[in-house]
Amino acid sequence: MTVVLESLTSETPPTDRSAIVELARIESFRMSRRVSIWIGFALSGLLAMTEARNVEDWSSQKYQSLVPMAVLPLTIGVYVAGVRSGNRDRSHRRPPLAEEAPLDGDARAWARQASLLVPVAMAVLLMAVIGVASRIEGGFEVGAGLSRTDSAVHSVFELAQPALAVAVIGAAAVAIGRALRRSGPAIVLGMVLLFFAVGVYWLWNDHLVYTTALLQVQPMGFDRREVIHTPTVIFHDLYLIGLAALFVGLSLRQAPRRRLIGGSIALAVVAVVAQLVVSPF
Amino acid sequence: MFRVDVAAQSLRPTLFATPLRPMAAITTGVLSIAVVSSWCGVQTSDVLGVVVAGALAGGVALGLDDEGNASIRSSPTAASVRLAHRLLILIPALLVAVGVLAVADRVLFVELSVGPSALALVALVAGGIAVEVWWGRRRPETAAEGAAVVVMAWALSGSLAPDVWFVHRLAEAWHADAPLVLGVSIVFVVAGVAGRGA
Repeated sequence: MTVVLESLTSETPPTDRSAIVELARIESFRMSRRVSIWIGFALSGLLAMTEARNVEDWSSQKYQSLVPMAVLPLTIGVYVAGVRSGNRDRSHRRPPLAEEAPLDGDARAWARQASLLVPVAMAVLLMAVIGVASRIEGGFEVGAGLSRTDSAVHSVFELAQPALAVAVIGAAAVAIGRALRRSGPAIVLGMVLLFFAVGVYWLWNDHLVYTTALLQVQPMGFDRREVIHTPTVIFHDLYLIGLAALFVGLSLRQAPRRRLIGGSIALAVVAVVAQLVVSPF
Repeated sequence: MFRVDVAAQSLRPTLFATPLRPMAAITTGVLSIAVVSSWCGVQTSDVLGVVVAGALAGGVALGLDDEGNASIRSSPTAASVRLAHRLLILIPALLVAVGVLAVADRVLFVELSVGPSALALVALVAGGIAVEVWWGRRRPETAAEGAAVVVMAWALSGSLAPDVWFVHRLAEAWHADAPLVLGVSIVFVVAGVAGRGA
């Protein structure tokens, strides 16, 4: 007769990917039912319409303000939803996750990060509508004097920025929610910061700061001209991808946390340096 | 004398049970943003004053988080007394936070920001308390966070709400019609706690 002894201290088996995918599906459904996201999305749509109808006070105003103002309510809604989603296992109101739970905290964090595809899709839809409508309407007035045009339209790379910014904010929110037991102060302070970072977008159009802004608003002033510089925008998109990956890494506790954080910081730094190299500003 | 003693005795546990950390965290956070802004050469604007008012009102709402509600619901203390005790602790904390931020504004920026009036801040705080009281009747565990988000969103909505007259009017009511908002909020708070146990 043989007796098989199993070690009591054996390592936890790796989580099945299909289980995480299934959990991500459930989390996405929960995310799509969050009121804050829908309020943000509705306000974003309304603001986009009112901004588009406004009369410009100066040339380039509408081109600059339409995208950040349209996406601001959605970013706030995503932030609130993300913090609450990330905080579900950490909240001082709820019991901690049981050790024998079939999926550990990291698997849940992955699923919650994946559920952010819902608000990202909303941002993509919003930007697609702005892109198509502005092309049908004939574009925006940008610049003055010889460099003036009446038919400027946002490029795909510029319209990708709000969707990437929503991913960054959502990933950061999940990481913050998972790190803190009390999410209330983080939600209030985050709303202040988001208003400062996205609502007062013109503050981040200055020298050097534009490379690290959450939303890089074009055109920027250069040699008494206003220039929309697509290579700078592309590298800024890469910077935002790096930031999103950084916050995903920060929301994890085990591998691939270190690799993700290291890789994303490297990508963000390279993207910032590349912006400084290619940019005429 | 006996009544004063009883009041002091019942305030002491409330002092320990009232979360003051959210107000401290929010004040520190806003202060940090102000310091960084002043380094960047940013002038404070009226809009940011409005946002800070929302954050402080959110701090009061978060301070009303009543974790012990379920366990002492059966005690003979009235909800109005518990709310009054909490406000006796939170309002001085709010005044300290306002004082600290006012001094920082004076030290950090050349131009003083023109924020909302004191009455508007009081109206926003009262609005937050009213939301908390009524939200807490159904779901006390999420009332503080919910009320904080509502007042913060209300403060921001002046800049976010579309320019449709009634929407904009509603968004700016807390500072444009502060006495009315304050009065309505007080009525709602009194109606929400009147005759209720803890």
